[in-house]
Amino acid sequence: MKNYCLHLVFVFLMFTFSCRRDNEKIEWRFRELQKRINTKETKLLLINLDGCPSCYVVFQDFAKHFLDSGVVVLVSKNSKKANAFLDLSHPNVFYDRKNISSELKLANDLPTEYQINPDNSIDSLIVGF
Amino acid sequence: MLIRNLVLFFVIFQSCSQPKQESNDGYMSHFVEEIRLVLDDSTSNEFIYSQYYWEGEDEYLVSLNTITKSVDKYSLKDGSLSKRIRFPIGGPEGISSVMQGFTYASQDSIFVFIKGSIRGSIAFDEDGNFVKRLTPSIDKSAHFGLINHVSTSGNPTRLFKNLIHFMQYPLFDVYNPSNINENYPLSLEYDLVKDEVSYDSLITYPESYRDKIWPVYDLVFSREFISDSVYLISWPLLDSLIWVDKKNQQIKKIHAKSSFFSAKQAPLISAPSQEEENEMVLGQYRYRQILFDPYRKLYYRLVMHPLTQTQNKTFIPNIEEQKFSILVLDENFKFLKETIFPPNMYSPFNIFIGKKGIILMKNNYFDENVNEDELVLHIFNLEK
Repeated sequence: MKNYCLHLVFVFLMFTFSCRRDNEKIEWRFRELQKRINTKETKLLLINLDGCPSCYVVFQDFAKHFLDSGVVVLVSKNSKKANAFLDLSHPNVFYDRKNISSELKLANDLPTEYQINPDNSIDSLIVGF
Repeated sequence: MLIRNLVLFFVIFQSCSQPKQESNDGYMSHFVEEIRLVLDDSTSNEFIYSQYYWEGEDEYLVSLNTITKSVDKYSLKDGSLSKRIRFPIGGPEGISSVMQGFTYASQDSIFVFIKGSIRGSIAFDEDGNFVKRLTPSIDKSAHFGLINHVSTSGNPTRLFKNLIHFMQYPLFDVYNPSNINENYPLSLEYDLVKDEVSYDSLITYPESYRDKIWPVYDLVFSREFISDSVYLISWPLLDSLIWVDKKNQQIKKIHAKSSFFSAKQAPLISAPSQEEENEMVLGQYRYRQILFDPYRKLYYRLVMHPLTQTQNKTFIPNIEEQKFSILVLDENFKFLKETIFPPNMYSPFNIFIGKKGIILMKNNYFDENVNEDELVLHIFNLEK
């Protein structure tokens, strides 16, 4: 009986641990971001304007074009800089001042594109220069 | 009696040898003045590229505004924008690439530099009239004209006579120890008359850095100009400053150690991961910018203090979460004091010297109370 209880505790701990690991998976983090920025769009482009000063110039046109097919999440502490990069009132622009994207480990130094597939897997692409 | 004398001796000895450190709020005893720069809707309060400039009695903070494509000149008298100098983008007289810094040398010579190259940078006057495009005719570099010049306030680019003095970061693999050698020139000059770039091998990696692997942030130095041919270099892991006398081709080390730590050099065995690098530099003391105060004949050296928790943190922006101290040395490099400044308040990147003292920007990344419509400057006199 004692051994049985120990096994039960062990299995419970394993289950809890595996759930926590699941929560860290990119699918969970992507869904969480969708929820927190209130969008159902399946394509997101994350740009960290504070971590990459050149991104402000290099990726502006790319980001504008991306708005036709998905949501652009702009990470920046500075609203004037973000607004000069993309019109923050555009329905497909989300201004991430609180850095939710980094908290969810989705934002990188370089812009990163995410797309959710029909089988719920996530494709990600770091956009280089 | 003997014990009492011993205790007395010990107390006296300690008081003599103890460097003068100040408590966390001691910095306010040096506070001189607050200036509020008024920012319009097209001006970010980051002021990444900025410099101090004076004309007669008037003092200015000049900034490269990448949103309006202009050089903005703010009066330190009342914080107003006294002049916005727009420069062309594209075309034969414009900037056609990502900008990397500027130099406001005089009303007739304002330079805007482009990233990764000197070729293509432009000069114009205070009315926005085009003066010159920098087009080096002879490219002696090993990187086909690519020059990773710094041009920030920690490594300002300055004009003396016809020469623009730059510092450069490497373009090579920094984790290959043989690249950190005595041959790589860290400074270069552009001759405006001859349109030529010349490299100066006198300023290179310090001996203790060579042939070893370091976190990339420990290769980020700071240069201050004492004159057109005498410079001071501060390396993150050297207690000493490097004094360079270019005219006489001399280099010497000057003791300029923080009272808080002794720089421990522990090179890496292999290339670190980004997490390891961030943890190393954020979790330990590091020297950063060096400044010369010509008004009070003092030297200031910035010391970043470690964060207690570094997990999941990156050098940028979390360096702004660090407390820092400013080491104050007299004109003979004698230690005077070291004043601690609080974390999450001032920018550790943009520090300038004005007539009234050292100017700090109150635009820290982690300060949630920053108003984006103004840039608050605090001036401190660290002489007293």
